[in-house]
Amino acid sequence: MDEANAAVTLEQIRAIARYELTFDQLIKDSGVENGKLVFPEAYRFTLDDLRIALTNLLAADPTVGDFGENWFFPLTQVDRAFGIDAACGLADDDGEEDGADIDAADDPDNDDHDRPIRCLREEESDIFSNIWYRLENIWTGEADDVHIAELDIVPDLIKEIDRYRANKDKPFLEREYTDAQKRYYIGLFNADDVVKKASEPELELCRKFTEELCAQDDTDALRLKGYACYGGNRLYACDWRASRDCMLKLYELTDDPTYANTLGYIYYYGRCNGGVPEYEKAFEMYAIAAANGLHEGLYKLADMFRHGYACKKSERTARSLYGMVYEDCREQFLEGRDGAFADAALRMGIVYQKGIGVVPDPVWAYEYFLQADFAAKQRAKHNNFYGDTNVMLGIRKALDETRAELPANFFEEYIKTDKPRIFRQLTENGYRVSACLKREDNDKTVVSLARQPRRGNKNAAPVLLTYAPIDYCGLVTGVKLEAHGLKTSFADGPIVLFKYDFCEWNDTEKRFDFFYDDNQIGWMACDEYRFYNTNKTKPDGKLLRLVSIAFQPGGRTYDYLCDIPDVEVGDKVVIMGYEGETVVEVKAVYTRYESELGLPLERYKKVIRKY
Amino acid sequence: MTKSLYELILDNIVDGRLKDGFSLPQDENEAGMSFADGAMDGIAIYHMGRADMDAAAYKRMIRAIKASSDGNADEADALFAELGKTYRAVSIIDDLQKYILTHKKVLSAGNLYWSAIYITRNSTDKESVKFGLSMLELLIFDESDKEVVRRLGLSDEFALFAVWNMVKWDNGNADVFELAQKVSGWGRIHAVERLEPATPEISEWLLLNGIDNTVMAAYSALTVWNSAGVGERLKGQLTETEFHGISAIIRALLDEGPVAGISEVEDREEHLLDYLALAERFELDVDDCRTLLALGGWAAQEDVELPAVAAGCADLLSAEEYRDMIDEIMSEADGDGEDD
Repeated sequence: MDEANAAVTLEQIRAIARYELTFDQLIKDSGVENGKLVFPEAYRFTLDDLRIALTNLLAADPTVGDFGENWFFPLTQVDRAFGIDAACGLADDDGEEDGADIDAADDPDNDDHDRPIRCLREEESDIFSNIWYRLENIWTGEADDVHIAELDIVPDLIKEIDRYRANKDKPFLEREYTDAQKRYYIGLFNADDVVKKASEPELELCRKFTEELCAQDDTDALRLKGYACYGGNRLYACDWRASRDCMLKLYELTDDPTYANTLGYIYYYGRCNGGVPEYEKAFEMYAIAAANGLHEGLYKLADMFRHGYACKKSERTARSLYGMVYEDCREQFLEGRDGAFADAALRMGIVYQKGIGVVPDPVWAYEYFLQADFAAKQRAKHNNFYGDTNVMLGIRKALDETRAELPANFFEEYIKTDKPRIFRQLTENGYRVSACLKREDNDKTVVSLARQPRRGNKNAAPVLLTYAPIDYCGLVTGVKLEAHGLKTSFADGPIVLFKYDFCEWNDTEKRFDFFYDDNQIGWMACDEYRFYNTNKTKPDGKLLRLVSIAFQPGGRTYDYLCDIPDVEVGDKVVIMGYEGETVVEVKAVYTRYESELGLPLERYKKVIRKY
Repeated sequence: MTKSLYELILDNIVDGRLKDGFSLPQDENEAGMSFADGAMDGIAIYHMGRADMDAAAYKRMIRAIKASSDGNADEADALFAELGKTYRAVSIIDDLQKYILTHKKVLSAGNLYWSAIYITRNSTDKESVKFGLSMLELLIFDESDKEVVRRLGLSDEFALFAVWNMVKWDNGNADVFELAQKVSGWGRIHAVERLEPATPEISEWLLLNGIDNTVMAAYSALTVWNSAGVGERLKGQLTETEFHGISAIIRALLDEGPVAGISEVEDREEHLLDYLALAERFELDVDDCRTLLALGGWAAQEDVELPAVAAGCADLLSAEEYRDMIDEIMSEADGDGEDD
């Protein structure tokens, strides 16, 4: 057998590209079964070649195995010689792009590469690479013994090339598009910004594609239309019935509870019923959303139980549902996932403040509000949403109101206890804890505890610690406590170190017993542990006087700066509203340091004068 | 449940490096002949050419990449493991990466990344882990996942693939340097090969430790000669430790068995004469004498013909004070039967 190399001519290359010749035939004809094929001249595989190849492939009807072994795979190995990368638009050898540009008339903002319509632009290389990839899928995805003609895909690929050619000289908006292209195009309009900036022809095309796809029950299109009609935007005017129909279809097609939740809102507010609520239907939809853990659904279901809409009034059930959201959000918050813990804790605070299904309890309410305040501040470090500012203001107000209801001696300089919960809390979820006892004098020992990161993690997960009497809430992986009168079985010395993975309160001996790997390693008993709020900062900045005013009786209150000294609760004052000077009633008067304000000082408006 | 290779490595890390004597489980097909971790890949890189994949393997590779891109990491792991039985990752990494780069429009980068991380953390197959690392090399890294690569790199089996990743990271040279110091076998050879002497500290480490590995110093000798700037250093002031370090590098360069060494050093006569001039100023130890003996013998060879270097070595070794050391070296050689 010949082991020499054989040069392949351009004619032979073209014949291979067009599936007029396969590699096994070429090798046989060249007599180089043990040698190598060399390609002295570079070729540029074209879309014309590919179309001819597809037609020949159908006519020859090889098995998938033969097609792969003798044509597709060898081509991938000599792709440079055939210019396949260039044909796919990956390595353009002449430095110029192929295919027709979008007409200026079609795309008035031709230089703006962000325009959605540009995604419909098709290069010859896009078509080539798409077809090439689908041929690869045939080879890698179909059984080797299946014949090419048995597969429907090759005729579709030929049609794809023909569609591209037919479109090429047509105005942009009159071209024929595949469903995939339509779906991709309308997908861009899920972004509000695209809807806001799109030109009218772009919106029109989007509506056209959306309607065509909706007729095929395409979920992307139904979702786009359904949410656009829900309130309305530039793409679709508000049309509650259309929105409801899309959501019903989507829910039917996908069983996705998000759509049930949206339907719940539509029914709850009677959007398709002249403003008359359809509570029965809303209840069913919110129940579905809630059963799937959607927080909005849980809240709305809780509201329905609270008021007895389409169900027996049950504040206890409402409270339980609020609690479910709180627990879920708390877990996410501890895992460091950005969530809605601030909102959930605020709502739980309100449950205890107003006594929804529980006896009103300002202490519990205050504790939840402290958690909400802490979580909102954490969130504010990463986000800057106006909605967050409103939540923070709401929390601040709730804290102020609750503080006034707390017993006079509620606040302390430090927390004192003989059995701190935190000893046990730090070991939860299988954590090991390092402990350090540092004796400072005969009576006082500083006890430092720290969770150890688990294997493979840099940091340990934190626990949420809340001590309302010292205004403390924080995420901690460790704490420092002052122990007064500490007695312990651990070695005596100025510094004692140990690790534990479990501890329990021994009620007989009145002490904590510590364990490691199921073995008791020692105990500690103490008359009083003290925990100080070391995070507390003194308020600073100017001391400011503010008033809370309401535009309507029983309506939401807003805070205004007021440097008029004799304004009191119940007075009428003049402020600048959206429609000019407005007279409003003062609901509360209070003072704050600048650092204690929920918003930057410059964002507060001022009371103009007393009425 | 069988532990993944990553977990095995994690279990055996002490003070930031793998315990002495740790090695990954030998694969079944390697049972007949035992290879140190990284040896098969090392041999493939230094002594074998690139493999041409057959159609079946290429198809399997594509399926594995597509499974990764679809987020089917377990399926991808199994396909990569199967592929690895016929083609080691190191020999087809170019094909794998080329495929991903030329198909980036249709592959999901997010899923590829997720699958690659999943495979590197959970696979029990060495080649599969390497394929995972090879995919990661093309993707933008999450800072937290870099630790997975750093830890896998502690094994000589994966160090090369870890280094290929690290050199693409911002400030990755610092990671390569750290890894080079924590591995001692093939891993160190690969790390030294790709370590940039970006700081005086790295350059000094390369000079004194770059060729120290448990495989063969010769593999790194030429790299270290160039990257530690030995030629330049020979023209300046050297400490005694640095001089001994250079002696060791020259000795390793003379061993051209596995890879090119002294014959590839530019301006070698000039540098070697500089070395001999410096040798007169230092008290030579037994290893320096070994270098001079080997160097003298090499310089006198017909095809080398560097008479001044040969004569310089002979002059230095003829001093009375080195006679005992030379006897010791010669008797070692006699005993080993290595030198005729």
